[in-house]
Amino acid sequence: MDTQMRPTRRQVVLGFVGSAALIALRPAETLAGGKGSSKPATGAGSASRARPATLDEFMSLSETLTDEEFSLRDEVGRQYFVAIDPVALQKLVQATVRRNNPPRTFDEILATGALNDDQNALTAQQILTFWYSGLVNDTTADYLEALAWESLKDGDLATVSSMPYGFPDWEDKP
Amino acid sequence: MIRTDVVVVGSGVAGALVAWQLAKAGADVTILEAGPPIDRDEAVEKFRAATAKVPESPYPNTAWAPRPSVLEIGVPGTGYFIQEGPDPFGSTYERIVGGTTWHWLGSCPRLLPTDMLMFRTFGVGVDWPITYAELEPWYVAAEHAIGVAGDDDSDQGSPRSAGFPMPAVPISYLDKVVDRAANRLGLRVEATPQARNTETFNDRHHCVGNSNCIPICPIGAKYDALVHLDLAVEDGAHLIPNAVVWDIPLNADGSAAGVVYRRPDGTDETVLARIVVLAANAVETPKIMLIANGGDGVGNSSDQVGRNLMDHPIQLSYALSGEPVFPQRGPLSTAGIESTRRALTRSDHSAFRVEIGNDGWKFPIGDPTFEFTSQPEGGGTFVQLREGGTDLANRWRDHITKEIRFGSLMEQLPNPENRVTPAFDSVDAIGIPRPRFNFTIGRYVRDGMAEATILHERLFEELDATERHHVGFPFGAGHIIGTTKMGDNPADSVVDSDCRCHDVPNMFIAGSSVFPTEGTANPTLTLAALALRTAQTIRQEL
Repeated sequence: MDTQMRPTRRQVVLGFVGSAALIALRPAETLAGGKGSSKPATGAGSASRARPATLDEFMSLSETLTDEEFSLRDEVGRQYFVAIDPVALQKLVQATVRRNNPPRTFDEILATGALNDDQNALTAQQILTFWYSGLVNDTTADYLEALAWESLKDGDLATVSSMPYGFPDWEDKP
Repeated sequence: MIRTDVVVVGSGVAGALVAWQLAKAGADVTILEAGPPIDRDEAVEKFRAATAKVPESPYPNTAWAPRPSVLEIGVPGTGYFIQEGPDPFGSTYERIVGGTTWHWLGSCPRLLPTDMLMFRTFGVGVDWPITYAELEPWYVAAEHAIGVAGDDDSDQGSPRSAGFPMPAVPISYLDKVVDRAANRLGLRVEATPQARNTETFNDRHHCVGNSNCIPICPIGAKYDALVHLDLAVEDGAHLIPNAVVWDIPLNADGSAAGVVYRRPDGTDETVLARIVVLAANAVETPKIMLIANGGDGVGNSSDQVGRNLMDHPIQLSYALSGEPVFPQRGPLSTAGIESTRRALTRSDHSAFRVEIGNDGWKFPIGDPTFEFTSQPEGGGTFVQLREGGTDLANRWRDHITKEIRFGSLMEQLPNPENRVTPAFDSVDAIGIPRPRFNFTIGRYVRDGMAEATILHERLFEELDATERHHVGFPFGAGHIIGTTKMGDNPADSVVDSDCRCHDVPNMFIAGSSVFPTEGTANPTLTLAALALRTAQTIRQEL
C-alpha cells in the first residue's frame, strides 16, 4: 500500500477501512452528500475552497503534522480548533488537507511548500504546541494525553500521575 | 463553648503526632484546622486540570484560610503574603486538613550533631539548648511513626541507635549516572532517607513511582499527616476543620484559658483547654501569638515571636546530561550528595546538601507539558518553526530523557530582622490579619549558593552536560523555620527545651518554628521528633 492510499489512524478509528473500497467507487458528488452538505471531502478539491476549516479537517491536519503517530481525540481537538484563528487555519487546511492527493506525513507537508509561507508555518507550530502541551487559552484541554507524555516510548518516563500500579523500576535503565 | 483537655491548633504533621500520642494516652483532644478536608481523588483531578502544576495546584485556597502560592512569590502586591523585602520569602504552605504534608517531598534526613552547635563549633548562629544525643531516641521514634525508608549502613554523619523501619528507597538510574560523575570529583551520591513506603506500612501501599510526590501522591505511599489524624480520631480526638484560631485568652495567672477560632461565616467559638498546643507552622503560629490578647501578643515578652525566620534557600541548576538519564521515574528525589553538609567552611558561608532531582526540569521550568509553552530564559514553545512529525517527537524524547537538575539547600542563619508580623492594616476575608514579611537572604547564604554553583558546574562538566543553567536567585524550599525560638533564657527565646512557652506554662509549640538553627536537613523529621518529645512532656502533666 503506498502512502497516498494508506488510511490514516483517524480513518481507521472512524471505520473508514470497512467501507473504503465502496467509497472509492463512488463519484465525488455522491461523496459530498448532496446539495448544501458541509460534509468534508478529503481530496475533493475546489468544492470546499471557500469554506472555513471543519473540525474533521483540523483533525486530519493534526494527524498529518504528527505523522499519524498518536490517537488524537476529537473532544480534545475541538478545544484547539476553536482557539485558532479561523482564517489562518483555513489557509493552512487549503494548502494541505484540501489538496488533491493530500500529504499524509509532516515531510510531505514540507514537500508541498505549504510551510514556506510564514503564517502557515506559525499555524502549524501553534497546532503542534497545543497537542504537545495540552494547554489552550489558560485552560488544560487534556493532561493525560498531552503529547509531551504520549510521544515518549514505553519505559522512558513514568508518564503522568495516578497510574495505580505502574512504574516500579526507576533504579534501572529502561 | 467547647471544653477539652488539650487543644491542638493545626493538623499538619506536628499537630497530628501530638494529637495522636495524647489521644492514645486517653486525653480528650480537640484538633482545630483552619482549612477544609481534602478528598485525594478530587485533588488529583484538580491537579490534572490546573494549568500550572505548582505545589498548591490540587488544593483549595479558601476565603477564610487563604494560603500563599509560588505563582505569587516575588510578584509584589499579589497573594496572601505581604512581602516587604528586601528579598521575597520564597516558601509556601497549605491550610487544609493534613497541612503541607499533602505536598511535601518526603525527604527525612536528620540534623548533624554540629547543626545544633553552630556557635560553639563555627562561631555563627546559636546553639540549641538540647543536644543531638538527647534528640536521637526521638528521631528513632519519629522514623518509626511516620515510616522512613533508609539505608541502615549509612548514617550520613548523624549517629543512629536503631535501624530504619523500612529498607531504603532504591536510588534512581539517574542517581547512578550522577554518582559516577561525582566519584570522579571525590564525592558520593547517597540514598536519601524518606517517608515513603518501600513495603506496606501504616496500611498504605508501597511507592510505585508515579513521580508526582509534589504536589500530590496519588496513592498515599508518601507519608502525610492523615495517617496520624485518623489514628487520633480513632482514639477519640475531635477534628474540627474550617476553624481559624485567632486568639488565646489568658487566665489571671497568665496561663492560657484556651483558644478562640473563627468560622467561615465570621462567628467565633471558644475552646477552653488545660493545655494549648500551637502547631500551625512557622508563619501562622507566630501570627496567632502576635494577634492574640487584643494585639498585644501572648508569649512574647522576649520580643522574639516572629523573628529569626529561616528557609533553606535553594541554588537550582539544570542542564541536559550528555547521555539519557531517564528522569520522571520514581520519587522526585531519591538521593543527594551529603558530605557538603559537613563542610568546614561554615564559619564563612552556608553548608548545603545537594538534592538530585528525578523530576527533570519541573522545579525550575514546570511540568514537561510547560516546555511547549515556555522555554528557559524567555523562549516560547519547544516546537521549532517548520518542525513536526516524528522528527519533533524524537527530538523531544532525546531532550526530556536527558533532563537533569540539582538543588542545593542552603543553611540560613537566624537573624532577628528576618521576621513575620501580623498586618493589622490588611486583613483576610474574615477579618484576620495577613502575614507580613521582612526578609533578607544575606551574604552567608549567597556565598554558599556561589559555592554550590561551582560544584553543580563541575558535575555538569563530568556529565558532558549541555544547556547548563544556574538560576540566579534562590528558590524557596518550602521549609519555614525559626519564628518561636527554643532556648534556656526567657529573655531571648520563646519556648524552653521542652517546647513550652516561657511566658505561658500550659502552652506548647510544635513545629519547626522552635528550631534555634536549621542546619541543612529538611526539617520535617526533626520537627516530628520534637513533637513526639513534647507530647511525652504533656502526657506527664495530664
